[in-house]
Amino acid sequence: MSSRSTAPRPAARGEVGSAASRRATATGGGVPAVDAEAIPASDPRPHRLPAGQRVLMTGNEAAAEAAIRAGCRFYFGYPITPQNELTAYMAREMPLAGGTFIQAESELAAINMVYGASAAGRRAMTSSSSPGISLKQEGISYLAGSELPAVILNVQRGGPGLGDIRVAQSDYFQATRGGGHGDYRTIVLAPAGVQEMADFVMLAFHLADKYRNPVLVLADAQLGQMMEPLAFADLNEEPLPPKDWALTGARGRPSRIVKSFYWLPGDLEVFNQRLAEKYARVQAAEVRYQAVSCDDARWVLVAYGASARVAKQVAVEARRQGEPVGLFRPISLWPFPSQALRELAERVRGFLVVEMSLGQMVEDVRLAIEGAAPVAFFGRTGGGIPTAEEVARELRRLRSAAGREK
Amino acid sequence: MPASYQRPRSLKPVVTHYCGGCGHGVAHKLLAELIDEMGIGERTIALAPVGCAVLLYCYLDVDCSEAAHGRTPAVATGLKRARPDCIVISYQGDGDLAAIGTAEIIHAANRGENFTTIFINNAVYGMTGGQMAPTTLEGQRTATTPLGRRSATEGPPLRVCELLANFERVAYLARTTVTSPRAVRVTRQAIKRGIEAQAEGRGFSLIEILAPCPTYWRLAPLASFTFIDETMTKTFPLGVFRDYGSG
Amino acid sequence: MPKVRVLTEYCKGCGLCVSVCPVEGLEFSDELTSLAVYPPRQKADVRCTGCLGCTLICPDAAIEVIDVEETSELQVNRATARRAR
Repeated sequence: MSSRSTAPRPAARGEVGSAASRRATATGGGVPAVDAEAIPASDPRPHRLPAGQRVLMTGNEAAAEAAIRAGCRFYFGYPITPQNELTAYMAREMPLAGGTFIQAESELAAINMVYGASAAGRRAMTSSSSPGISLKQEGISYLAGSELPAVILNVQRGGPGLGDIRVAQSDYFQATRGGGHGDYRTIVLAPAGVQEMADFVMLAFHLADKYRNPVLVLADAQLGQMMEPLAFADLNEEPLPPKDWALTGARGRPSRIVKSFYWLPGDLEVFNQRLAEKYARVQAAEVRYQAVSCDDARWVLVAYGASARVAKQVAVEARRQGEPVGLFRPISLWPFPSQALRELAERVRGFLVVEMSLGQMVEDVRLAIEGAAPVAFFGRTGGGIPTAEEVARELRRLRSAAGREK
Repeated sequence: MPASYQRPRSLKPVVTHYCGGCGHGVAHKLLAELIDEMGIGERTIALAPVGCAVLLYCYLDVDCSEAAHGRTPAVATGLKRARPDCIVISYQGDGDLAAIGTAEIIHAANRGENFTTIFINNAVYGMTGGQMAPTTLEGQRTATTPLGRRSATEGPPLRVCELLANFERVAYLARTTVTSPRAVRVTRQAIKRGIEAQAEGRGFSLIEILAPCPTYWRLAPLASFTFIDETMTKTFPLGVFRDYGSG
Repeated sequence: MPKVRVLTEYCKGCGLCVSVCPVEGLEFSDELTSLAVYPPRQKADVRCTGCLGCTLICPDAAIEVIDVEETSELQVNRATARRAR
């Protein structure tokens, strides 16, 4: 039966991996001598853009391309609007890059395929949108509990339930409060443009490997669909810990186990504490935010992702009118830039948090500043996008109310 | 040639938590024997399900991973795609494979994913206290079918081999038992054929093993063998369902 | 000649080996193991045929068959048994 010869396997054997592993495979040695190389040495695509060259792309496609450039050779996804362009891009480009693309039978299957590839020491990714991310929560909890690196991209849409296919930011809780069961955290990065879609996907792979943790990139329909110029950066050169836990076949070493199950009394608590220590290290080192004209601001808008673009416009316009308004844009939603906000709270009259939700990040802002200054909220949701006029009007209302109280 | 047998090296020197007479024990032993005999210990990756065999990685001395309940075929897919030179053994019980994981097993089989699945069918959920499984027999009493399973309300028992038998990219598919030394030999050979199919890149392989659960069948080990031979095989006939492309 | 060796540290006393031995060559011993079971042992007066049935059926890989050196007396007995079959 000649059809048997087309049993599924990656596009071509041996092109993934270091030169040493390629040699090992070519000589029929089976398992490569090098243990679980994380990042493939080459990308054989002839049309691959050089780093630094500007190109116009949608956010979805930029994220996909960035993943390939970060050395991801395993993408597992399922169609869901508004991120289907990413899946289609991967279907086309991943095999050309020598990687594996599978359209899984569900988002549930896809995240578990990521688990498998990651357990084997490879950089692996999945993407989806809000309802599909709900399906992945079990898998993400398992990834965190097994300390496996992975990148998950959420191109948010309206909810709850089937919701709609337009932009929303109503998955903040899901992203930053675990989403799945158990005491764990995912690192969450929030891009606000197509350049950042690319940059943060690459950063996500780096952080995932650095901390052996799933990393969520929280985008939205607007960022996914919009088209902007960007340039792809080079790969981060910072050395990463070796994947000496990965499952590669126990040649010349004791066998390894990847698991999240600790059934002997006391063991799980010890493990959870170890996770807590890891998360403390992440909090100390990986806070990211952008502060626009906050130094002498008396009023600060706080927004992330697509709503930050609107908030920035309001802040810039206010400054043009001579008003002391700034924008504080969290980039890492976890770890949340609490300390920077707390310090800012000492010198401002108030914050206005703008989100495309009924108010989720606003709770973290309030927690962060611990009552040091008033925090107001303005939101649109269910596909509604705040306009600069609306936000500016709300800000004016707040400022005049505060002025009256004095 | 003097007859002799020693405990396989690939079985860790650990007492298993399985009940006396449990079918999992035999399956683990056969896997370990084959891993030794075929010399694949250094390139085997095994997957533990959720179920009584959740601690498989405590017993088989190869690289192992857990999988979320039912997701084992998806994890195996990711693993095998990432390490195609490794032998990936996916090990599942009847809840893992035929209840919560039906989508995953069907699609992995349909894609012809090149790993080998050991499917332990003991017609009951052991780990959680003896509830109905998709493969529980008509009339069989369990914790959730106290009056006996009825097709009219629970549906008839699910036959996995029959379900997958027409899938084009399934290279090897067999149903066996472990109720006699001869049957164990047949099972061993079936697992070996499945692993060979994987090693030769011929596609998906699955061996369904009708296994005893003396504890939740409320039968002594020998009586549980009789239950399999005389009752279970009527619903789950033994045999090789697919054997394609072998040399 | 083949001889049964029971790894009592793994035995759970399920008795399947005792049931499947074709020459009824196994019996339960009367000494409890650390797992609080009575493991099997080869009967003193029955020759193991080396069929390996017990090793196949055992769910715990707790029974082995080893080859021990025969005395001449045993060789004669085996030949007698073979002729009798």
